[in-house]
Amino acid sequence: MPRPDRRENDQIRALHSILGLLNRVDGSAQFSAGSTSVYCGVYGPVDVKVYDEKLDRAVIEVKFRPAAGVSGTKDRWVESAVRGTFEREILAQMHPRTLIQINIQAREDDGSADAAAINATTMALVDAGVPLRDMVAAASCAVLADGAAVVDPTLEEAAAAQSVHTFAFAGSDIGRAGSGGASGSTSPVYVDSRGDFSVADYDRCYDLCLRSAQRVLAFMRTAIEGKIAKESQISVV
Amino acid sequence: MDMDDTSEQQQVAFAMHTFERIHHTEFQRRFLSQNTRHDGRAFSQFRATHVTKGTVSTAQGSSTVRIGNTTVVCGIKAEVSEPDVKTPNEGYLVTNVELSPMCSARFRPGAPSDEAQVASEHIHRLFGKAVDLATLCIESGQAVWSLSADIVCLKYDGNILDTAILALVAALEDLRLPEAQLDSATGVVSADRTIARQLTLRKRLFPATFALVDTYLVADADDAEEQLATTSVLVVLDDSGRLANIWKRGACPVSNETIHQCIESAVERAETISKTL
Amino acid sequence: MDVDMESQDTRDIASRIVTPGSVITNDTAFMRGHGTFAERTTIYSSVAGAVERINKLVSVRPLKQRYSGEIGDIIVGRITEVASKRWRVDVNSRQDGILLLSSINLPGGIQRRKSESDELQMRTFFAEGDLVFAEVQSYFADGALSLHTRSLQYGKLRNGTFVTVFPQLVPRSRSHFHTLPCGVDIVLGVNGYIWVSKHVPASKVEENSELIYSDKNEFISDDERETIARIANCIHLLNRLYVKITDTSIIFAYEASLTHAVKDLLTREIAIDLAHNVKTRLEQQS
Repeated sequence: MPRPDRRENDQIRALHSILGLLNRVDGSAQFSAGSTSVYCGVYGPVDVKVYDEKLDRAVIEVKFRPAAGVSGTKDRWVESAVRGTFEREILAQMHPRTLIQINIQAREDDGSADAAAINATTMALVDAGVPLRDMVAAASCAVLADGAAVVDPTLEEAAAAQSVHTFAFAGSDIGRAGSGGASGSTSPVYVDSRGDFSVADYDRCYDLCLRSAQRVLAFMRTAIEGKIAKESQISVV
Repeated sequence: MDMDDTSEQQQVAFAMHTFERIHHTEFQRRFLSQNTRHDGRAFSQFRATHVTKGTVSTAQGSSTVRIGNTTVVCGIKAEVSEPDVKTPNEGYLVTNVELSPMCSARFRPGAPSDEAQVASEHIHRLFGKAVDLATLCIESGQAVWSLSADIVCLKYDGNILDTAILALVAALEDLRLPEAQLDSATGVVSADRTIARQLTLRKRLFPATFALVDTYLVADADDAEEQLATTSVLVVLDDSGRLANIWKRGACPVSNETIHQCIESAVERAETISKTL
Repeated sequence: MDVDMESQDTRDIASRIVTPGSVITNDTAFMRGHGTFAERTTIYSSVAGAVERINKLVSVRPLKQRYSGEIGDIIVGRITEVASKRWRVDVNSRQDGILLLSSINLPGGIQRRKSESDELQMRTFFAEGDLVFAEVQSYFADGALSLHTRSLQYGKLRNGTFVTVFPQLVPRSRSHFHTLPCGVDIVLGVNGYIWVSKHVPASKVEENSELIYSDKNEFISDDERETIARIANCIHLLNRLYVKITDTSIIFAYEASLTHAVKDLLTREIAIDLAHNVKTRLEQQS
């Protein structure tokens, strides 16, 4: 059955990003997939209250604000998901007794917003020069009522779906999978599968998301490398 | 001779207790590296689980669930309210998890902590499809039942999610909604407590949480193990054997193979609990 | 994917661009520097930037990073708080710097001892919002920079305007205070804070040490104001196009800018044009 926007089942929406669009924070990025768009601004490493500081590593704080309305428990959930994902990927031991604050603002939600938040955060952290072990790319997939698995579902598709799955992978893992490794050997950094599904559904979505994450990672890398190439050409002197 | 033995035993016990406090990680590692856990369980073993329904007489539905030392009480109060304009035939199920200093020194008094909010939100999402909200309708567009499920932790010893989910399932099964009618003339809803109907759950949920302690994956971590675990995997199955949730969160990556092992373990656990519920 | 040693030139723009998690080299001969981390025998990049190699040291320089102070750095800071016997100074770093009362020059000569009345009148020296030209003396236990202004060239800044640039663009050099031929003084703080002001002869300052904490500006004529504004805009455009900011590059930019109105210097096309001009002259010079 054709999708409302006529995409293939394994086709993600057009990706778009802007790096360094905010000038008051240390690093920022806007990440969009189709109409879903998320901003992320990163401060860090900065001063931390003595009460909160950790002696051997940086404290990582995530704040998420929805596109509309007051911040609530839903947003605490997204914050905990993002913080959990990046707590290891950020090399926090390099900056003890400091704070790395990640601020995420949802601009528009047309499905797969959690994945967009994770992707925007990766790009903003890179823009800020926060040391990372690896880049993280996320993708979503939905299993529809007729059993078809579609990647990067829109809000409409996700609401009518039997189950929705979001996965995030580290760059090195994606690279390994790409070069012929079995998907069983990959280790996702984040998994959230919800609804009514079978193990087979889960496996199908896992593979689809791994491949989508590959595309997202390539996109992010190209955007970042392009910006560096442009700016370092100018700073030859 | 007896006196000497006991005092020596006491000394050894004291040293172990001190060691646990000072070298938390190392203490746990000593057990895990020997393929066992500090309370003697196997890696895949869950603690003794007890479910009792109807423990709060003032609530329309309630339950008390114990997994090991973690004790949780769930009380569901039913109130009449107006439905949302967009969904005139649907009632509400609002879930709230309370983690107060009463259950553990870990939690501070005051506004719900992030952990409690995340737990409340996750359970809310899980149960979204479990209850048919249309069965909560009294009069379309005018009056519906609003169920407030308060999940209060009395004693915290790790694995709040599994305990809370089971408590809510049991309380929902225990729930008796009085027959209600809307008097269109006065706009008053009257309910007869003597005629109560049970709520039909679309599906019962069986959770299983696994935590990554150091590099070992253990089922149903207690508080001591949870302190060291940064990563956990939650698998929730329904009574037809299908999956309702796989939630992996935390710093360390977990291989897909391991996730499949968790699913298998969760299936076994579901079979065990379904007999208790 | 080893870094090719023979053809690697540290100024070569073709040096590899890497993103976090990229492998830089597996060769154990290399030592790892900033912007990298090692796992077993492989060196990975932890930031996005260009790989730099100096002999056996491999590092990655990201585009943007907060200023992290080193002892001996000359910086410009803004007072944010007056505390007991010290001031907190915003130095564009992850922590505020600290300027102790015992680290400043007291009016009446360098030999004057700090008195109790000084402690109670700290705002007569520096108040919140003042700009100070200082040097990094040492670190506190928590990593905060300890500053001092114990030289007549340091102290409160006046008669000018403030410009912020990327800290990486201000190289460390022998002198950070310059008098430009057009009659403007500039103070280039290594932390990216720059002060452009009317030229005041050094003798005038030494004459009257009571005035070193004065908050009163000198009279600045319209022409002087225009020159100051022109220099400030030149610095903005150098920053925007990522050109290193030194007295030489500022002078080149100033000379090239004379054909344009001061406010036009901020438009994109003119800024790019002037930056290219400056780069060409700098290359010719070296």
